[in-house]
Amino acid sequence: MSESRPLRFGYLAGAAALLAVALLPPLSTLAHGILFSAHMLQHLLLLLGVPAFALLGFPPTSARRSISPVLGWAAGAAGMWVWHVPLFCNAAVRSAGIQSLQTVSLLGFGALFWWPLIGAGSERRLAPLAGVTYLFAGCVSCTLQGILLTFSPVEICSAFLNPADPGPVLPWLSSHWGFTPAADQQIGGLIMWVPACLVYLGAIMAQFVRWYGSAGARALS
Amino acid sequence: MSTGSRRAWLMTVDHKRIGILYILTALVFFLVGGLEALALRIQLVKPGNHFLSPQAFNELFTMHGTTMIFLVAMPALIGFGNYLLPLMIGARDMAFPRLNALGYWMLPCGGFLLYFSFLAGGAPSVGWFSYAPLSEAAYSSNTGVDYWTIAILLLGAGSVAGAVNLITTTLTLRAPGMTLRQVPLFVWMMFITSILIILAIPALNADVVLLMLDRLLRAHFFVATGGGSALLWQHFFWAFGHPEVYILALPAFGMISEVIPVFARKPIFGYEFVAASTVAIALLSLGVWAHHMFAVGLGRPSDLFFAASSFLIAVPTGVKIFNWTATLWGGSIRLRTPLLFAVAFLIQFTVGGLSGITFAMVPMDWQLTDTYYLVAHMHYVMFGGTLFGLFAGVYYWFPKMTGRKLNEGAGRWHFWLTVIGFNLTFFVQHFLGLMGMPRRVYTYPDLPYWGAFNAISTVGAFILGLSVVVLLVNIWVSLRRGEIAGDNPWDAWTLEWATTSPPPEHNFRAVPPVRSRRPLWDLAHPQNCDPVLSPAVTVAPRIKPPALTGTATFIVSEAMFFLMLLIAFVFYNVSSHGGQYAATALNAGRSAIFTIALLASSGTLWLGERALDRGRQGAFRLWIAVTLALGVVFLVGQGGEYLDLLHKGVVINSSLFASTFFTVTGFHGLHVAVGLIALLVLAIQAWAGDFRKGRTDGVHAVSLYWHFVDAVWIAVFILIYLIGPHL
Repeated sequence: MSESRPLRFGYLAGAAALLAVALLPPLSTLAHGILFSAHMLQHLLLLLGVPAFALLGFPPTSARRSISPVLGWAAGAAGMWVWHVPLFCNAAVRSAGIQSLQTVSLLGFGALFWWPLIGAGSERRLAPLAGVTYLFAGCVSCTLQGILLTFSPVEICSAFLNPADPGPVLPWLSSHWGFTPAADQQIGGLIMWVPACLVYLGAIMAQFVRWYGSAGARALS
Repeated sequence: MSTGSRRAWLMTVDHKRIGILYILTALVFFLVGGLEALALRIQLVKPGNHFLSPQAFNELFTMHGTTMIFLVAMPALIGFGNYLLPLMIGARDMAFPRLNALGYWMLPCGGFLLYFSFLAGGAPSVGWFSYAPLSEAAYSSNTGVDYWTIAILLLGAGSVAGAVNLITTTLTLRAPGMTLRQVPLFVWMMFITSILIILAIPALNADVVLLMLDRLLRAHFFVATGGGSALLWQHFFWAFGHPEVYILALPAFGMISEVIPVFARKPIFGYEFVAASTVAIALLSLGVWAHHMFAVGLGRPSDLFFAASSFLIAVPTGVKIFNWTATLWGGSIRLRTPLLFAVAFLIQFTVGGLSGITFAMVPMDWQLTDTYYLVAHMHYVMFGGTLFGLFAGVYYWFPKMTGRKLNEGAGRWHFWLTVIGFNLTFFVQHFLGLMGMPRRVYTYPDLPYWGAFNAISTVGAFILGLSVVVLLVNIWVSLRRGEIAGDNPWDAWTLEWATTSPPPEHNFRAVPPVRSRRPLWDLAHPQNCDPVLSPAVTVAPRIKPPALTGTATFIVSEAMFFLMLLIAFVFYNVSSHGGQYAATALNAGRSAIFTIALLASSGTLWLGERALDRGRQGAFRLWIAVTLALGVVFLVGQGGEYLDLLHKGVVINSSLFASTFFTVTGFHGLHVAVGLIALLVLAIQAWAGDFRKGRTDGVHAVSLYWHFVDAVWIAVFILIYLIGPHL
């Protein structure tokens, strides 16, 4: 949530752009049963990217209520874990209806996760150091799942194993780079483990900016 | 400090004396580890040398590494933290003085056990990271590794105790007006280091526990023949080992951040950037351990991701280097010994950082890992960085600790000998590594330049040895005849300089007002104060109960330990490893009954707490008795389950399922037993009427721990009994 109008429109444009990247081809095509790693990228854009930028673009008010951080954190973790239970993951690939449900639920989970940090009115947000703890715990949950996916010998989402229409990308990857479904799942896990954690780390740094910024503001007044 | 006999030093709970004991112990082991290094260098001075046998060489490099990391660097840094942190935040002592003494005494015990291995049939000879399966009983059949594991566990427990204390002290005992945004950077960095310690050491502890079970009870965690995996040792070890690099570096960063501003006569440039980048380094360090394992074949995807994330660590570290340099820029520099060491630190640590980036490149890593290039790299970080930072700290704070300054002329001799000796020893090792000389091999063939470079390195090592002698003489002489320091010999700005040198046992007669980051500057320049950062209205300080903060911190560390054990359970049970499985061996229905007893005990304890807070002593005694009974029911139930499994022939080494099951539930049961003892103590106190005056912090702390133990069981029950059979 920002004071300046142009910046807010910038954030909203960013949210729209990320949403477009996530839901339009080529990512949406690849994410739909061809590449697990592409699905993971889409998953994270919807869960962590779009809601954060959308909330940053909200007009500022100090009155908007917060939600319980436990609820927000649980929503964030659920968004990560629930859709990677093999049953649900496969269902989302096989049925367009469930995939839509997945998309909407990820946006919702993400909004709940970010709400205590950027959705709520500026006076009602989590205190900066509590925010750091909140985000760190989010990073731990995300890392654990990333590790599980990276090293799991079991196929988490078997629907990706034999795509009905592999398109041009997957055969090219297989023939030129020796790409395998196992490598695909590893990359999916690593996306969740490493770049996703950098999102949390970036947000933690933003908490420090807020923390030290508020001290500077007090010193000047 | 002048009062009291030598015996008082053994019994002390004063943070200053404990800090000095830590530093002196580290100094003793520094001499031992240094002599070991000299022996290694003598062996390597020429090709085909026979000064040491291969076995002695292996033992000495193992002991040198273990000693320098666990018995020198960590204790020295924790010792300085112990001495300085309470003084810098204007506190009377650490939050838990007796825990502090316990943490210290773990150190000599651990060191003694480690070195006793020499007398008990041979020291460990497997390198400081003790890779399995080399460290397994089949390949290291003497007791060296056993002593190593016990020593590491003790030292790890001591470090966690120290870290819990430092965190709690920082959070609860700061002087009025000192917010966390304005603590001295050394305090901030010790705080972040302590958080890293409580998060990272449990990974090492879990790893070492599994190794002990392998060696002593013939489990198969890391032995391929029983279905185990030596790779898990490496994962757990480096999940500790990479953060450990920063556990050793961050306090030295903190020392540099205190020394440079004072000797440049300027406030630190970009305090906020130095502080926040420390957090970024700490967090990144927890997630990049796999870059220590590029050579084991994790697969190209993993290599790529971890190469990229390892490059990133250069960013926050680079931020710091620029901040320190910018602090020096345009300052009125006083080039005294502390600053000399600090400037050398900047240069050498940057060299070590740059060679570290070369290791983040996977093909370079494959080529250079386990060569002398790596030895050079890690010594530039640990010696050129951490130890130079420590030396800067020694010269800077020696006057505070002893009341006398170290001799400046001898200090310069010490500095130049160290810089020359260090760079001679280790710079040439870059070339040896690039030429392919492997480390940890007792000798080498007479290839072009190898003999010459190794001879240079050995000469450098002896110059380093000489520099240490200069330091020791300087300390010895300055203690007796050094210039009297006065309260604030460097004209510094943080609170430790506001009291006498050495400080009295109670530290401060009165803590000066704290409103900015440089309270003593404000005191000396009332017309030209720093920006005020403290809250405008200074209310009477609210004394937070340290007991709860300390318990919560400890619980975080315990949670990490159980997390590692549960990860091991999943790892070993997710695919077919042969042997029994949870579904055939366990009776989830019966376990659910004693699970309910344990969960109910959390409720009864909560009711007891509520009764106590309302002053109903009788009800409290009743509820605590019920809680104790329910806890005993749980333990008896678990004991019954163990007996049942034993009758079925399921013992700790019969399969990986059995090994992980007994390890996880056994450690949980141990925690329940500890919780029961704590509850028993509470019950005795309650009957004696100790809680009538409302001192109930201890009750709330024990209760928090008991709830934690229950929460762990919920995770264990779900994972092992409910999910496990379907893995």
